[in-house]
Amino acid sequence: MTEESIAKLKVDGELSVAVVSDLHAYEEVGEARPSFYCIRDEFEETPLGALLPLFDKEALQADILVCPGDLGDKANPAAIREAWLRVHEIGDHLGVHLLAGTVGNHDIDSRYVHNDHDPKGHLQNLKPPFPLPEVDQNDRFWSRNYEIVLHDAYRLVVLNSSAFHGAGQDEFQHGRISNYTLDALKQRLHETENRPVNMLLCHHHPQKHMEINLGDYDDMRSGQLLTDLLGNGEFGEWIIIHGHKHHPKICYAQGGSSAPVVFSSGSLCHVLFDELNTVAQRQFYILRFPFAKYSSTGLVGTFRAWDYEFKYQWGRPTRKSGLPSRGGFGCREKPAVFAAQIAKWLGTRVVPWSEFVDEFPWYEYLLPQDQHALRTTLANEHSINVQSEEEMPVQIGAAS
Amino acid sequence: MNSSVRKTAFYEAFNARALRPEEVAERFVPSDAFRRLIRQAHSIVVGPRGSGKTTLLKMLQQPALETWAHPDAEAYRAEVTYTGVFIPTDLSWKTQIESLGAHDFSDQDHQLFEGAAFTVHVLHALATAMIYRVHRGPAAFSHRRADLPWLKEQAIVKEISSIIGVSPALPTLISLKHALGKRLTRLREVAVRERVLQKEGRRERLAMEQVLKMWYLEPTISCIEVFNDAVGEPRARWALLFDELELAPEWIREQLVNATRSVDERILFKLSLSPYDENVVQDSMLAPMQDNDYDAIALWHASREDGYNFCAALWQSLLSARGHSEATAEATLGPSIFDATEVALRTHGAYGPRSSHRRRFRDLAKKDRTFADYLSAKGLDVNSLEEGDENARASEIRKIISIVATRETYRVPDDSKGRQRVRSRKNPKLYVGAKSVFAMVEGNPRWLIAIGSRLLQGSDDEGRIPEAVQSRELMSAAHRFQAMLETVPVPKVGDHTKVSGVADLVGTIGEYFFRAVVLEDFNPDPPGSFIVDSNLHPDVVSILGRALNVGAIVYVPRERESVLVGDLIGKRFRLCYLLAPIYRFPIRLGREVSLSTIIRAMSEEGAHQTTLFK
Ligand SMILES: Nc1ncnc2c1ncn2[C@@H]1O[C@H](COP(=O)(O)OP(=O)(O)O)[C@@H](O)[C@H]1O
Ligand SMILES: [Fe+2]
Ligand SMILES: [Fe+2]
Ligand SMILES: [Mg+2]
Repeated sequence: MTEESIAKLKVDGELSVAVVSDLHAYEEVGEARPSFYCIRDEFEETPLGALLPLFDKEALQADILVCPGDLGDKANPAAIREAWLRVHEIGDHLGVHLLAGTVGNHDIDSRYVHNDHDPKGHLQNLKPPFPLPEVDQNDRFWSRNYEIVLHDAYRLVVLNSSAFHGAGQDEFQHGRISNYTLDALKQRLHETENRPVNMLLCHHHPQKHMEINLGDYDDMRSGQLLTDLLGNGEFGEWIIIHGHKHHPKICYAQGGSSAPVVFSSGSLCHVLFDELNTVAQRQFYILRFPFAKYSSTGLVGTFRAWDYEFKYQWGRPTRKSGLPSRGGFGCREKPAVFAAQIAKWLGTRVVPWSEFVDEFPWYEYLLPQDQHALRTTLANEHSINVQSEEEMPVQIGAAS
Repeated sequence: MNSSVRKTAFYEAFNARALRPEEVAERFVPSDAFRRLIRQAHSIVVGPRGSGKTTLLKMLQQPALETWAHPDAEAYRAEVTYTGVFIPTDLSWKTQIESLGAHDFSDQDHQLFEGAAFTVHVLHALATAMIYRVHRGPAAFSHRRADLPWLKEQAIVKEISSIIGVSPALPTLISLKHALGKRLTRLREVAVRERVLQKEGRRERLAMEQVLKMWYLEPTISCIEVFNDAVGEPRARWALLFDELELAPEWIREQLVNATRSVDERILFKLSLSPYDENVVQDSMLAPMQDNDYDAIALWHASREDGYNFCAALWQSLLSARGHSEATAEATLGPSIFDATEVALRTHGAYGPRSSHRRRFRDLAKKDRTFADYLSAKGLDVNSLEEGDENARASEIRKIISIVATRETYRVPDDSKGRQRVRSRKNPKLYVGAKSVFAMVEGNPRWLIAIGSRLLQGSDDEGRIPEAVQSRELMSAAHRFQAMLETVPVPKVGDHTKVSGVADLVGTIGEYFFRAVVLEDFNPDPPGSFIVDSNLHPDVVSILGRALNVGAIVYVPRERESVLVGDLIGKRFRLCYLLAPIYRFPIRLGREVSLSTIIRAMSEEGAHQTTLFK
């Protein structure tokens, strides 16, 4: 961690986290390619390399870069090595003070293709150290299946949901957090102070994620116990960032109103199988946590998403992308209540969107689906419409 | 890598089509054409690809004028007392229905859909222009802002919505614009439905469709009226800027061209068109334009001097962008051999004992019997050219300088033993210098920007471009251009024409000129332009039309002949000067010959042709 970037974080009062997930880097050219990231291609012509011009164009920066697993495809050691190095390059360009990865099912050689006895040795020998920058952090990660990174502003749990791959017969089909790990984690959470931003990074989804027949066999076993633990109020408010499904989605975990936010990152590079193609694109994200105001708001935040388009370019998501170009999380107000407040304030006027946001700063911390629900309620119950341009609201007011 | 000239369009990346008005304004250099276009008159801008048609029209939009920071910008802005409404030709006017595979649509059905899509696009552009006038954030040079309080906006949107039959989500101009966008979706739905339902009962169904009923003119006038009244400018004018009309359905184009005759005085029409369209009965369409209803503005330059000022200004802006704001065109590109004005010759001591012209005269006379004969017949002595003080003699020399230089560059000595008849020059220095470069880019901003930025990559600290860099880059641009010509689609032609496409035809003409200038006996006034005569096969004429649109040939109107080409027969053309280093002809407008003569002469040559040029 550089002194400078930590000082900056304090001044901003905001933590920003960039997400690159499920790179599925591969080496062999020839057969059907699993992703757009062949390590033999020019880096600039891969989705990962194409991020660099995007960073320049939009002056993007971040404090942390996380990579929730599946660096490589089918555990190809050379591809994983290259991808891990390149991910650091991305982190450097963003100016992050921490880069954290975790293990995906494709990172583990659970079918013993590349050797017959050590499914994860290539990960333990990666340089820079994997999944965290310090060797002793990683020692704990590999021995306990999780590690915690602490900072004034945040607490980051890096969990290995593929810890048992390579062992049991069908274990590699899904993720798992074992009861031992859960107990140990609970203990550690008690021992560490709650932070404004509490994040858990893992590969598998901690709750069912069954959209468009993606299957319901591959989730993190005992994931519900994990979300219950994080959402019980004792350990602050949480966001879980995971990969694996390649289906971008943001929602709250089951439970009460302090259940964790679950951010399912889309894949950065994957060739999307047919079912996915119409509802998901390759995406890159930056999440923002304005923690300076958390004493009055609790954990809220916003995200931005970009789509990988043809020809090595990143651009604005469309309706079929998974996550929209902007959205939020953390505000759990019911649309009906919110809509009534808005209607009262608005009367018969039409106002520019900026005026509305000044009055209702909460709006931007609604999940995309809650924003949609709110707009529907506004239209149906109060005859209030929102006019957007290029998917961004520009005006709100009483319908004509 | 080097030899593989990619067969793509010619610098299409430099295109104003996708630029926002603000972006267009950032680099805009005004031209004579702009000065004319901006006037309160109906105008039609005609030019080949890349000549700046889209740019000119886009500059008349408010956001462009409001960001344009050129030193003369204020004066231009003051002249724009109307609101520019930019309407790009949308292919959907023509192809939407075809793309659905609705083959059983009658022409009338087609026109219904085309007209409706066209109307929606015009109204959409109109709403956009209104939004610009009311709702833009702060600008560098505020221009024609309208004060429209929110309640008034609400009122006019309601009124306009009922005129054009849309229901915007909010009573705002922005919502109005989006509602029009949705109307296109509706149109498409109707088209899809009709394809499914087939012909039976179509007439009745279509007659019921509100979206198909409107033609742009009346609603446009009404909307303008409503807006003008609301902002307190009842007489204010609006300019409809139709770009790329060559892509629009013919009947729409004709409607627009004829519209000026009857239309409301509050509307100005400014159209852009490529020079030639074989599908249009040109003269019938051009007649109204020539009745002075339209000011026809040509964006090409028949003579090489015409485009000079614009090129120099554009070059200056390219130089400034690279930090050479002090440098001039002459200083960075140097003098041109083809610049045979008296001033140029005197300045460079052209006739003096060590001058390059004098050396050329001497060298050519030595190796070329016919030239030596010509000189002695004229009483000119190569060793004392500078003594030609009498005006007559000076002009005698001036007239032939370009020919002498070209001939000297490529001709082998009469007594040479080899079988070769032409000196091979990979990147001849013949074509360097400011005047030559500007002539070769034909005053075409796309070409100048594209080639200019390559040239500037090879410049020294003061922005000077070495001759070697100039000749190399011009040659490579010429090759790219030629490669593009190979790909220009032409209608299938029979072999009776002896020309297979644009590149082939241009090659035949270029070769003919080369022979006349270099290979044949010295001729002080060799042919260098051609007349399209009526003996030509129609296929050849249509190939010429394509050549004209891509800029491979250039129209040279005679005095009092309209710049609008219309029917090609009887008109005079020259080859584009960018092709000069390939076909090795001088940058000069030569005497005219008929194209039939050229084609006949060259096909008699037959087999020789191929051995001459590889
Ligand atoms: N007056 C001008 N000043 C500066 N750049 C220009 C000017 N006119 C055209 N250009 C540039 O030249 C290129 C071609 O112009 P464009 O308007 O697209 O031509 P056309 O519409 O005739 O094909 C564009 O990149 C445009 O920005
Ligand atoms: Fe994956
Ligand atoms: Fe995975
Ligand atoms: Mg154009």
